[in-house]
Amino acid sequence: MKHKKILKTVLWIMLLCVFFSNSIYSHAYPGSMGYEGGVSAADPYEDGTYAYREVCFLSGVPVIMEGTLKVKKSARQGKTTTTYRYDLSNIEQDASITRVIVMDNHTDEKERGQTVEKSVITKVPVEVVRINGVIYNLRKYDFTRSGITDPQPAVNYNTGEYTIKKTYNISTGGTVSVEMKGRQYGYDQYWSSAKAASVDLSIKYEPVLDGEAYAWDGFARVSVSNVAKKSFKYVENEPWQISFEGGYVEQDWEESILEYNAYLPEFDKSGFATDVIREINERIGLNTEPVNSRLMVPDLKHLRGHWAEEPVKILYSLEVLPGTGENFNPAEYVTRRDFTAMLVKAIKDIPEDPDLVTRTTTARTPASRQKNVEESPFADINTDDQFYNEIKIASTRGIVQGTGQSYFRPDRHITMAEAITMIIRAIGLEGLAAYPYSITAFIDNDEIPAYARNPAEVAFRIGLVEGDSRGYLRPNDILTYERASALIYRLIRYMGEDLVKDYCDRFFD
Amino acid sequence: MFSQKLRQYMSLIILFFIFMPFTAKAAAETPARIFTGIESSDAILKNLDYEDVKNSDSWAKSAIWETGALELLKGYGNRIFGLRDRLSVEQAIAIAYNMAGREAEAQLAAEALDLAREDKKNYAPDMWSDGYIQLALNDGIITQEEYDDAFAADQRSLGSGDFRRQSPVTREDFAYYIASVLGLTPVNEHTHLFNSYNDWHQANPHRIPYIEALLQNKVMSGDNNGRFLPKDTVTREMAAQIIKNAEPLIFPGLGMEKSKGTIESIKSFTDKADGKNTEIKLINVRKSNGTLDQFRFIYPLDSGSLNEISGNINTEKTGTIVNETDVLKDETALKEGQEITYIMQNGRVLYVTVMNSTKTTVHKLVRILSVDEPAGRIQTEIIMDVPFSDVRMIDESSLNSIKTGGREEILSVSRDALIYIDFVKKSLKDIEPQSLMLLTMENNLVTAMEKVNLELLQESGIISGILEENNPALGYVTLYFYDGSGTLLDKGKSLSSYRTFSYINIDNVEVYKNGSPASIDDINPGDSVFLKLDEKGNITVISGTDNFYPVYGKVRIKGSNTLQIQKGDGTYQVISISQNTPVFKDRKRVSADDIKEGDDIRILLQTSGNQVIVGEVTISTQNPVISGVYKAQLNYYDEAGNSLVVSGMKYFKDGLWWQADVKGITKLDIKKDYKPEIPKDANGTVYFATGKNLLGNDVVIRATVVNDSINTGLISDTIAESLPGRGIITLLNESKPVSYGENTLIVKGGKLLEPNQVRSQDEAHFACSSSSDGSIRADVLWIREPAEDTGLALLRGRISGIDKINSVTLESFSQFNMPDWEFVNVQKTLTIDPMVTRLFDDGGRTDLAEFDDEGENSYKNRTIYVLAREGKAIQISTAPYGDVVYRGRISELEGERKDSFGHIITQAQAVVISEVKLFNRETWLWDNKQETRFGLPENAVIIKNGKITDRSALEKGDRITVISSVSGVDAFVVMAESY
Repeated sequence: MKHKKILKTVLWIMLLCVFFSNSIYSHAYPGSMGYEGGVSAADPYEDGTYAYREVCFLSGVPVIMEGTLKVKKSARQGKTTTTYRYDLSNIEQDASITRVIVMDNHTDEKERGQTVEKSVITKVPVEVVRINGVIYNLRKYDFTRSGITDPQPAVNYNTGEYTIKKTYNISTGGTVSVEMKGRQYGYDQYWSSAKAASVDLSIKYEPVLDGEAYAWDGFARVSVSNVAKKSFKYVENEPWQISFEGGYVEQDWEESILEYNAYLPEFDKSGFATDVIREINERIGLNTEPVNSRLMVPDLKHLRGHWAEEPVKILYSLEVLPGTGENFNPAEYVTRRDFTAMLVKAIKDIPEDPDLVTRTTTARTPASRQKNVEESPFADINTDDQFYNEIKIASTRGIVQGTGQSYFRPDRHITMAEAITMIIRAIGLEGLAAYPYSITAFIDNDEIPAYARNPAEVAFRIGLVEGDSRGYLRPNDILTYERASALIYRLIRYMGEDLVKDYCDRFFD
Repeated sequence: MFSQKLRQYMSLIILFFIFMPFTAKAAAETPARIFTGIESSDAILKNLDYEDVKNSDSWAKSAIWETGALELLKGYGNRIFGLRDRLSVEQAIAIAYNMAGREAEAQLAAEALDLAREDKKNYAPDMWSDGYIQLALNDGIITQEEYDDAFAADQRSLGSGDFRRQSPVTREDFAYYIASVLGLTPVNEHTHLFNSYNDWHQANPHRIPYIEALLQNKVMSGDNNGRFLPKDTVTREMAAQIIKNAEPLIFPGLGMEKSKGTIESIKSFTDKADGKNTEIKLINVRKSNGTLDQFRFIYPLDSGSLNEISGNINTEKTGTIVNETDVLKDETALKEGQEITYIMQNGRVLYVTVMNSTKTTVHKLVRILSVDEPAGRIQTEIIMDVPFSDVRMIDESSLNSIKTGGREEILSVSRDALIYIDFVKKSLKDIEPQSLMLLTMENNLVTAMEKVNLELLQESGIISGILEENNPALGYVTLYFYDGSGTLLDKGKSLSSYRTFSYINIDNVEVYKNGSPASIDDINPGDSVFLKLDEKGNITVISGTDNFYPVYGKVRIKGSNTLQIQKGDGTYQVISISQNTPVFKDRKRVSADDIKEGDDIRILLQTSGNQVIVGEVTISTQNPVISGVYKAQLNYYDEAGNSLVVSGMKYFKDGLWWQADVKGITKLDIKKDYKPEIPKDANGTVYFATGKNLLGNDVVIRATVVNDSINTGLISDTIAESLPGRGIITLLNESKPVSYGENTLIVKGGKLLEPNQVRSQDEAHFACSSSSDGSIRADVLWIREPAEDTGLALLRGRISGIDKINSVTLESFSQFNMPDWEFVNVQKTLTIDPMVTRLFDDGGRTDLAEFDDEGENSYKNRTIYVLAREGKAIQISTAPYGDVVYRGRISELEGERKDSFGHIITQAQAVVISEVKLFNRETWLWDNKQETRFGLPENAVIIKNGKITDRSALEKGDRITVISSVSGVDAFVVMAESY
């Protein structure tokens, strides 16, 4: 019997390995904006469908095309096949684009969990552009792309570079070639995600006009960004006689921005390019209507008017703080156990790529069986602990460190320095601090334990902590629930709103 | 039932086959190294059986036995060690040479001396140490005078200041002998270890560098009262301990090695090969790193065993010395399961120490994360388990690959744990987080801690940290402490000497910044720097990298070299900028003067304590730009939906209110992060400004509601004085002051300003309301931006010649000077620049290649309009001559068609103007006229706000001047103005 058990365990471990290795790469750069220099915003009602806009320079004059982009991804044997289908038009300008691109993404896992991705075109791409009666037919398409994803406990960061070379035949004679060199940055996490890219287009025209072949060049830089955000809005109740107070509504929406700087020649009345170059700058946007979700309404009458009322209310509404709050005491000290649970519930899971069609039904390991081999990462955390799952997640994701023999000291009260360290570790930004140890701007810099000095500096820079009115951080103070709530609430706000800025403003300032 | 059993057996069989290779391998494991015993072990054991030691409670027992067994410090030969005997000078020198493995050399020197000595009879000193003293002279450790004293025939004649070889040696001299014989580098600077002893001033200054070297190498240390006692004598017991302390230093030179392991098995067998009859005892020792060592001891079973070839075989017993709980034994004391440390030399095991089996003692190298002093606990990151309590005995490769991110553990510290930091006894509270410490743990309790200075194991002289100060004038840099502390004044100041490094001549220092060669001035406070020092402690290389981070904010007040910015979180910060600070706008380098109050900026900052360095400033052009200022009747403010519902919208342009295109009730979105202060039940007039949000859509960016006005009016005037504190503006012509404030929409150059940004002498349009108390309040304050003088001249003349794509010459010309043409009767040549010059023929834009004075389509003798600047033709048009000048406002643009993104599909074909005035050349007055329509030919010249443009730039409401002909059908020149 014993051997059978061992065999079973071995089998489960093997299955689990298969399961985990399978599910890791799905957060690779989603590419839901395509690589053609356009912007998209997800259609909330249809999977894999995006409202999409891009600027077409093929006629020598920028024409904004609008329509849908459909993205379909399927994962099989370590590669993801993605199909992009664009149906775009500008009716007033009598213009349209139909384009289908199919590419394979191969992922390769590197050290520290990073995945490197390479994309190649697998089918002959199709693209037909029509502008004012002239048809541009894609004759040649070269594409190379490589990207890297760095998974952190709460955020996956990614970046990549690509090159596209396209050549079109013009129906009136001659060719147009476009070379696009793009760089992308992005991140994925629960509260917001951002993708930004900057693409340089070099356009080489060799049209035939009045039976005469000639050539001219153009250049454009297109910056695009797409963000998906969540924010909260407090809604008062209209009727007075209602069992609960006003509550929060979570709003999810997407925004995309496209900006270009184009340098194109001016044309004479016959359509020949002159030597005068025109600089054209424009910004267009694309957004979706917010999707509202009502959050739970906690019972926090006794906090009415308290300075931490809003953070606490939102954390209860989001169920980051357990219960409905009637016994909440803002002055109570927070234990390491409770803070870890709050943090893990606040950062949530990194969402899966919505375009990915997964076909791994066998890999869903039943949770009940898994418990057979359940082992706590900490000697002093029982598997039946109230927050066992959260602490285990914190350990497996690397927010706290444990090995089974080490101690978590769950009942010890958490200090500001420890809390900041855990938060910064969760968002994976320790590396923003100066090497080897930052000098923080806090008056009590020297009081900060060395391990927390870099996290404290990063937290200050990104606005999670700002010190008291006299510039003290008080790193060794034990956190009360009010301070912990404010800190976690700021983290959520940061993840939802501020992080986005760095990805968009980089391109649009 | 049967099948289940069968399955179990099958599993077992399978398991057996799976594991078989491992078991087979274990049995066949050959030891990595084999060590034999020593032949003289019994004799040594007998010699070491010191009567005075074994019955004493000496703390140095194990040191005495170990150094004895290794023949580094021998007894007197009569089983007496002489615990409390004071070490003499000659003994000290001899010990130093023995430690260096130069005993044989001393022996030879002594023999040579003895041979050379003539007067052997009168030579009184003990000659056993002559060789050592000779070596000391040869090595420059003692002077010739001291040497002569040492060899003086009559030692009693020597005075107290002389070198007496049999006098007790002082601790400082002993340190000097050991350090110099072992070739340790004297530490001349930063003798902070020795200086931390409170009696450092008693030491001979020439000895201090050597004492420091021994302290750093942990060979010597002070007493528990913080004294080093440099003038004290050295007992032999102390000497033994000192030698033992030096083992990590001297073992490599002596070819000795110390290991730790557990006795895994002991086996004996009889060896009768080659006629021998011996018992061989094999002791397998599993080392802590997993490899296997084997000891082989030989016991002859009968003396004089015979061999048919050579006769007698003399097989000697080999064994070793074993110290078990401070009792000396032979190798038979070794038992399976014992944990031992053992010292080997030349393939022989010399000395074995059995670890105390009742205590489980482990050593760990840890990084301290935090110290909970009251609870006696430390939070640590375990870096590795190590076999010894001395970091120097740990193999270097594993130390060099130390990484962070090990497992964390909280450990309890014994109340009387020995804590050494920099070789000085300290307490728990002195431990600094992040320091590396070597812990000794007995039964899971930390009993000893010692700070490990890994710098000693690496190339010395590389320093890294964050730069606090760079002073090229005085030639030094100061860093913060490695762990980022050092901003507190007391700590920073008192210890600043440890973090200040200097250079003699900057030309000899290599300086790098961000990976490229740079000047010392490029190294700024807040940079991460690496310094390489030479042996004198002077900087030879500085390499730095910056640590800029972005800060976003809005410029509130701009001083001559400061900016007060309001950051996103509402806090203010003042930063200093200079004319050299790189400033960017629209990805182009501009000057600091281009930063305006109200601008949104992104600054790269680097902070170092309270110093702030600005790397660059980028002016954002996106946000505060307005697209329009409106007033309307407020119908409803939707707080939840963040929108305004209004009717009767009018827009403000050129000091006037204009009816907006939209009719009926309009819902306007408010910018996401803006919440206007509009009471729930508000009604009345709402004044608001719109701007583009990031998506390019128009949204309300500022709104105020006015519901107490009895009268509204418009004023255009010059501001005489603005008093933002009192909220009052006095005007040059208007007698009544105008109040203004946070609720006034203040616009300048297309941006919203704050009240304190209004300057005197600004010309402005005011949309005001008067209250019941008679006061006038500005609802909109539109400051005129002085029109840019683009230097553009409108000329008209007949072409006398064209130098193709080079220049055009007019035989004479007229220049338009509002409201009429002025004739100039001189020839004028204007250059043509193909990159700039545009040519418009009757059919529209034409290639300059066709602009020629020869051939079929010659332009010679045609009259043209030329827009010229600085002698260059910017635009040439063949539009017909016109001298009838109209003024008015655009009320309609006919034929203009745009796509949904505002891109022009077809340009306007005609423009309709209202409030028309026609210039009467007779009276020099402007006559009123009816609304007039002008066609816009392909080659019409269009100028707006002094700049050349095309028809797409014309907007309804623009004030325009039209040059037309008498027929008044077409506009040949349109000059528009709008602000």
